[in-house]
Amino acid sequence: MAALGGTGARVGINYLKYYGKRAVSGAADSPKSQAHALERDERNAEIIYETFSKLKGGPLKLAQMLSIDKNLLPPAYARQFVNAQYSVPPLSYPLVVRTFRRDFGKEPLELFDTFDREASHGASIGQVHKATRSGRQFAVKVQYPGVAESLTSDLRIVKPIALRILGLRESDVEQYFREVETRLLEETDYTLELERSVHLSRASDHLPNVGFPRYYPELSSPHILTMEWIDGTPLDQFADSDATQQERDAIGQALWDFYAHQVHDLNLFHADPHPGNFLVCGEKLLVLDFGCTKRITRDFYRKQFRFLDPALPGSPGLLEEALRDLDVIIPSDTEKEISQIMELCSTWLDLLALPFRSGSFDFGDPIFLKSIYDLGEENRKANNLKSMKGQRGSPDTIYVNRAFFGLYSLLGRLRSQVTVKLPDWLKKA
Amino acid sequence: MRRKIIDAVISHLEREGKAPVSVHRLCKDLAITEKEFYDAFPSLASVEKSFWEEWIGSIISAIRKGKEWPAFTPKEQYLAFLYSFSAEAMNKRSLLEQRFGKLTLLCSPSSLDGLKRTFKDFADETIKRGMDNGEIACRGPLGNLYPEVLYIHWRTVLEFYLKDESQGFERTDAFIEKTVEFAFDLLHTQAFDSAADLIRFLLPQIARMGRE
Repeated sequence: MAALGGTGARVGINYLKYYGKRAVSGAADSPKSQAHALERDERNAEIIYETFSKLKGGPLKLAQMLSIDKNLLPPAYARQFVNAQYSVPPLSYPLVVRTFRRDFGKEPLELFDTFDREASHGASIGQVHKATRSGRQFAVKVQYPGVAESLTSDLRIVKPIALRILGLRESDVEQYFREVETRLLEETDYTLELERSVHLSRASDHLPNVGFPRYYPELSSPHILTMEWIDGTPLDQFADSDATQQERDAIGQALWDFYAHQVHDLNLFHADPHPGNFLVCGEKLLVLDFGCTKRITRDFYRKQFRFLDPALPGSPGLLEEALRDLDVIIPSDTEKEISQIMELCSTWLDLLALPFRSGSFDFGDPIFLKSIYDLGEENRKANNLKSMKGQRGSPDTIYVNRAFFGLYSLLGRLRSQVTVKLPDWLKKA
Repeated sequence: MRRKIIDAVISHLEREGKAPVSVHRLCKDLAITEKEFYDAFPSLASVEKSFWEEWIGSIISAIRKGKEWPAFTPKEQYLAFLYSFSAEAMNKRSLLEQRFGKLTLLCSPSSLDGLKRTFKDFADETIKRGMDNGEIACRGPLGNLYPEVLYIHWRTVLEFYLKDESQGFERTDAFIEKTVEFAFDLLHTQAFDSAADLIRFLLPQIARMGRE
């Protein structure tokens, strides 16, 4: 505890440095034009938020990704936005029967002994019904019809609107659209989710405090996913409860270790961590809903996570090399652009990689997440960033960022203190 | 004999893409006399009419046999009917397209007369149950219009289905789900003052939902 206390003090001082620092220095504006700019910014943000909040499904998801990655919304909006889950209307029981007929040629009561007519809760593109068979309890997730179809057409419709409102160029966002569209379409295929769930759960069952429901392929189909019914406390309820610090640390550690294993060992990870995807059952963290998973190549993994190398912050040469490797700095960049990008990235890196620096981290420190939001806000106002031409970086980063952003937010809500180990290949001898 | 004639006329329609040339020709092909034909049916058109009437009738009796049917609310019964219809329609899609693909909602082809009767009987029964349990508001004479309203609704579903190009026609299911929800909301809350209001209100809404 004393060691953590010391770490806390050091980290605190570093935060003040970032809190007050300008991410990118621009030309000084007169106070009046600054006020105008602020007002215009706020109005734009409101319009963006209003417009995209009304859109459900694909467009909302796209806007979420853009707002995290491009810092396109002020922190207050971003926070609300990111947690909005796009949802479909409930399915009537006859529609559930219809879906069973489509995929199995049988009605629910022909496959189960009992089947709840009312859903027990919603899922992002469907709902979950409790069922029993031979004394066992099942959670049966049923998908709303036509989601995949409307997704593609919704995104196509919203694209020009998004580009206009957000002031972006087609070439800049093309890869975002494609990446988000691909992931969202994958989410509509429950057979893929089943495959990934079984794979991830088998590959992670050695982790002591992480558990997974059992999956039933013979009772699953493209629109229906059947798994073991598990009772537990949803993670957000647990986080907001009077759980002890020890309990919070244990669950936070389980969550951290699960992600470390997925990202560093499996290169396949649950890319949309949301409190609804996790249950707390005693001392175990239970992982449900592998709807959104992202696979990265070993090559991309190395390039992306090289940024955790402790030697990097002190070496501009290494940092520049790593950024070129990822096409964040491109050959056509001028000296000025290169130095702006380097400064921005090293600031981001220092902040985001902080949990990895000292072997342990207190996610309960509210300044950490606030600093991340504030840094995003700085960047949002920095116009010269937007004006930099060229398609940069890899679309794979979108969901890597989403996963870490989500993970940090969850741990922040849990207020956990976790121990952090660097992957072996990054440890210095 | 009836069955033989119906099957022959329908397969002719499906195979050739148009009605049989004449009763005489059909009888020749079937090796029956004209008398035998006219004992069963007054015309070729009435054969098709009977087919559609029986088709919808068989869909309705099949769902009535469902284990859970007695426990369904009127709205669920109507939904069950529509989903059964959309499943069965896959077996008859090309015939439906051929015979009804170019209809507008205001057209009432005589070939659908028999089907309409059977449908309205079913709708009537369903609605009466709804009025008994309070799910549907009693509006006196206006209530008599409800089966007609549901029939128009079914026609919009048919129209939507025939224009649907989505995988497995899933969009039709979504259309059914949303529009029935909407229609029964209306019937429940009596958000209209006259028959004309109701129809005027319902049709554009349904058409609009169809575009979403």
